[in-house]
Amino acid sequence: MKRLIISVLTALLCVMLVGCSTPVSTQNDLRFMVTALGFSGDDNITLAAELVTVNSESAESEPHTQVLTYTANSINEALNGILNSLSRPMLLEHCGVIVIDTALSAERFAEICDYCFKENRITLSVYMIASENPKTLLDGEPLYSSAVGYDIMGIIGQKGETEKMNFGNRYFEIESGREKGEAVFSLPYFRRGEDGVRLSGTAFFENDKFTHMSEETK
Amino acid sequence: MTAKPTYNKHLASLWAIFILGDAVIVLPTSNSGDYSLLGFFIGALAAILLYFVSLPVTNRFIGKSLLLVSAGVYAFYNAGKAFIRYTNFVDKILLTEASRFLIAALFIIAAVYLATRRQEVILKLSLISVVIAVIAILLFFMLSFKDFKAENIALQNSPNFSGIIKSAKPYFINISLPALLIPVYSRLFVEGKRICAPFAGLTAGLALELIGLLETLLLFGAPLAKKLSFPLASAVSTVTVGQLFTRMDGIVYCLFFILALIKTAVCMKLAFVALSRGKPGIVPQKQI
Repeated sequence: MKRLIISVLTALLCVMLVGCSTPVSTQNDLRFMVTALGFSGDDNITLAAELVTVNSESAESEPHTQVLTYTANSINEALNGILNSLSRPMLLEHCGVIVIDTALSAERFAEICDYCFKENRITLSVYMIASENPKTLLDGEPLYSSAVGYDIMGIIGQKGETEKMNFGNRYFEIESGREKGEAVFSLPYFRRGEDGVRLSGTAFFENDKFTHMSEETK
Repeated sequence: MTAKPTYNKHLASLWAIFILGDAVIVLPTSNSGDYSLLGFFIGALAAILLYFVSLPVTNRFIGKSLLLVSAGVYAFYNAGKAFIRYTNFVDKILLTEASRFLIAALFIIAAVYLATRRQEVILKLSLISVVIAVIAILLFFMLSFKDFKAENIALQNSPNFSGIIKSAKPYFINISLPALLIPVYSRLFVEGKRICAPFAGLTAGLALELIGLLETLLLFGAPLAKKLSFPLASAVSTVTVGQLFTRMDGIVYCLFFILALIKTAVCMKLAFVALSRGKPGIVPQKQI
């Protein structure tokens, strides 16, 4: 009797663990993976989200990349604005890069850090970079991967491996310094050129505000 | 004729798991103060002292209802705390869209089932779990090593008395005080006066807790670590091995489950037996 109950429960669990159900499998199973988020603006915040659209039901279809922007009073409002234009929720778990506009105010930068801290779907090891225009940086054809955000991650990773560079620009590294009261930190500075995105220097921040740029990468 | 198993390794494993329990999920907590590492060492020392002080007290007064009722109530409180902390972790990190009631119900069912099994079942599960715990904690410590910053644990200024007390308090509550339950459990469920196995388990648990805490502090620094709801899980989430293994958090999620489950089940078992026998004149029966 005991074995019978265990067998029935195991069989039930197996059925429940199957990932697809009828309504989903007959539709196109679109997933919107956020690969990078860019923040700019001052009075209102403009959020640029690079999305890779994947159809998990169709192995033949190529991932499609697009950049959506929305301007609102707060980060959550801007995210909701982008979300409303999509048919499915965005997957923030795959976000690899946060792009900070060098014109951003200290208050806005602090707001972004607070948002990343509270949003459990964004990993603590997300890379933070600086750019003069996040939307322009992300809005272009990726060269080495399926998304510009992942291209940037690849460049940072390659610099770390080949030139032993440690930018110390992952979110937890920046936030750890801020929490300890360190006023100065730096982020790798990226520009979009004719040959895609490239690392073109280091942006220095003091008390959460961009101060100056160096053409050298530290 | 075969010799009766002593279960010493199992008992040591049980107490190592018990000390790690829910503490490893939440430490350092938001009220940990600025000297987390110092606070931990004070808490660890207090745990060992409390264990040795409570041994003769428990041996002398085990038949008294006051001791059994106190131990039972405290064990019940610990069971509830481990249960709430783990379900909170699942609700916030693991299954954010699942019903809290469902998560709680599944965990309670599993804990009650384990608590009602023979003691050997919990002991054997503890032995397996401690191996997983040692491997997981050491593995993630080594994988995070490249990101450690020694200045994160350096004392910036000489600690004052109130700062040390504030820093030690969460460790005293979460690590030291539960050590008081070890002698009571041993007297109720274990034959003979075994001191070495529980002590070995206690120190092993403290050592594992220290490694987990060091990983968190070296990676984030105390100010950021204590802001995090689940510091060790956050530390593990930063670990990547090459391009392939980018999210290895799952291993630690499994560990948290087994640690919380065993602690909850042990506390439930102890609370039930201690409270039901909290009457003078009833001598508890040993199981192993």
